[in-house]
Amino acid sequence: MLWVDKYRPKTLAQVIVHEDIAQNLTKLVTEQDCPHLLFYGPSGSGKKTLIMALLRQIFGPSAEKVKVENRNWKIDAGSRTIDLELTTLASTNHVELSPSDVGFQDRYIVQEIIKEMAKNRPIDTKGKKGFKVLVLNEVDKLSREAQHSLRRTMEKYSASCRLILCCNSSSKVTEAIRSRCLNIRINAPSAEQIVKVLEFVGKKEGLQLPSGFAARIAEKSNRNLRRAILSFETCRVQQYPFTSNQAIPPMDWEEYISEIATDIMKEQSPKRLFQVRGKVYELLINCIPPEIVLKRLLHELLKKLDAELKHEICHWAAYYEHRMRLGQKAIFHIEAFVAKFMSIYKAFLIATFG
Amino acid sequence: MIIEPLASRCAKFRFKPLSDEIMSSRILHICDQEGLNLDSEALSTLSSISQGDLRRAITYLQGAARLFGSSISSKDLLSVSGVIPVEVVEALYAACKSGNFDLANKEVNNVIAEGYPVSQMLSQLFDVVVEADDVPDEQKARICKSLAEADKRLVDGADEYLQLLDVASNTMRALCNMPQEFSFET
Repeated sequence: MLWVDKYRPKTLAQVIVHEDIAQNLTKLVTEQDCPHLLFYGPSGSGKKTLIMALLRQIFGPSAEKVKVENRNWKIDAGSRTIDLELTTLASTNHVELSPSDVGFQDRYIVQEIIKEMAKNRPIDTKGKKGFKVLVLNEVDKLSREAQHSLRRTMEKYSASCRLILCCNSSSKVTEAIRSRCLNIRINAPSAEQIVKVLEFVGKKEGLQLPSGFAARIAEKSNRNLRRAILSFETCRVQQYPFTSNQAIPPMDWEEYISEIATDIMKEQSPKRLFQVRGKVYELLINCIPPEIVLKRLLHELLKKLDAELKHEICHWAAYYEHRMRLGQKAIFHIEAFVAKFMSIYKAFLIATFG
Repeated sequence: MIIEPLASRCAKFRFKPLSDEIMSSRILHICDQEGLNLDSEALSTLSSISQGDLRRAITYLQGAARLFGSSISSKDLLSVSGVIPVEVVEALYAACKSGNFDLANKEVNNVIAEGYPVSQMLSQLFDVVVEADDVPDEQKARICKSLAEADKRLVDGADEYLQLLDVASNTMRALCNMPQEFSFET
C-alpha cells in the first residue's frame, strides 16, 4: 500500500495537520447531528481525509466499509428519458460521488440521488429516524443549473439527508449554497507541518532521516502534503539510506514543461512554435489539465524573465486562461499564449540588444 | 426590476438595511436566550461582516456557536464567515506597493495555499484601495478597472491564481506609476 493511504489518519483524534479543525468537527457531531458542510481548500491539504474521519466519527467503523458501484440512472425528464452512468462509493450510511463527471447533465444526478436517499431513510437501533450523508466532490465544477437545483433539494430533504460538499475554490460555488452550509476552510499545511508528518512516517517505517532532507522535500512539494509523501516514498525506493544531498526527483510532466519554457526562450519562430505544439499535445493527451500546463509554463517563464516583462506575461497568461475556459479547444489558447510570448520576447530582445 | 404596469398597480413598501442598534439588540437577545457569551469586539465584528443582513448575522452566530462552543470571539466569527483577515489583505497590498513582482507573486501564492476565496479577496482589496488616502484618484480608477475585469473572469470560471496575479500586477503598476501600456506588445 502507498504510504499516502497507509498513514492517512482514520479518526479525527489521529489527525496531525489540522488538529484545531479536527477538534471542532468532533465537537460539532457530538450531538449526533450536523449542519450541511462545505469544505474548501487547495488540493493535497487534507479535505478528503477530514471528511472520511468525520464520517467515521458519526457512524463508527461501518463508514469504512464502502463498496464501489457503477450505477445506472434512468431519469424521466418530461418528454424523454435520459440514461446516465456514474461511479458511486457507498456504505450503509453514506454515498459519495462526483456529479461533475457526467458533464452538463449533472443536475439530474444531483436531484435524483437525493430524492432516492430521502426515500429509504435508515432507522437506528433506538427506532429513531437517522440521516444519511451525501458527499459530493468537486462542487465547484458543477454547472450553475446543478447548483441551483441542489439548493432547492437541500432544503426540501434536509430532515433525512446531510450534505458534505468538497471543492477547491469556494468562489465558484454560488452564494446561495455557501450560505446554507457551514463553511470550513482547509488551508494547505505549512512546510513545518509537512516536515512533522514526514518525520512521523519515517519513524513508523523505521527510516533514518538525515537533517534537512525532510525540509527539502517539503519545500519542493509546494505545500501539498500528498505530493510530499509520494515523493518521500519515491526517494526511499531510489536510494536508501538517505543522504542529505540526495536528489529529489521532480515530476516528469513538470520537467517536460520546463523544457518547453527553455525551448521558447531560445528561439522565437513559427518552426519552434510548431515543435512546441507537439509537446503541448503530448501533455494534454497524458491528461495533464490544460490550466495546470499554462500555470506551470508561466511559473517557469517568470523564473527567467526581467521584472519589466513579468507584468506583461502574467497579464497574457490570465487573459488566455480565461479564453480557454470559455472556448472548447484548450490547445488553441495555450498555443496562442506561446505565440504571444514569443512575439513579446522577440520585441524585447530587439529593443535591448538591437 | 418590476415593469411599470405592475408597479403602478401596487402599494410599495420599502425595506432598508437594518441599523446597527436594531441588529445588536436582536443579536444580544438571541445570545441571551441561547446562553452564548459574546464580547463587544465580537459584536461589532459581527455587525460589520454581515453588512446589515440579520439573517446572515444569525447564521454566522449559529455556525460559530456550533463549532467553538458558547464563548465566541471575533476571530471565531471571522473564520466561519469566510472573510479574509485584514492582515492578509494588507500584506498583499503592501507587496503591490513595494513594486517587487516576486514578492507579490509570493503573497498571491500564499493566499491560494491558505485557501482564501479569491472573489472575496477582490472585494476586500477593493475596500482597501478605495479607502486609501495616499493614492490619487487616477490610480484608484486603474486598479478598480482591473478588479472589475478579474471579477468577471472569475464568474466565467477562470483560474483563481492567474486572475489574482494579474490584479496584483495591475495594482503594482498603478501604485508605482509604471507605464500602463505594455512596451513590447505588437
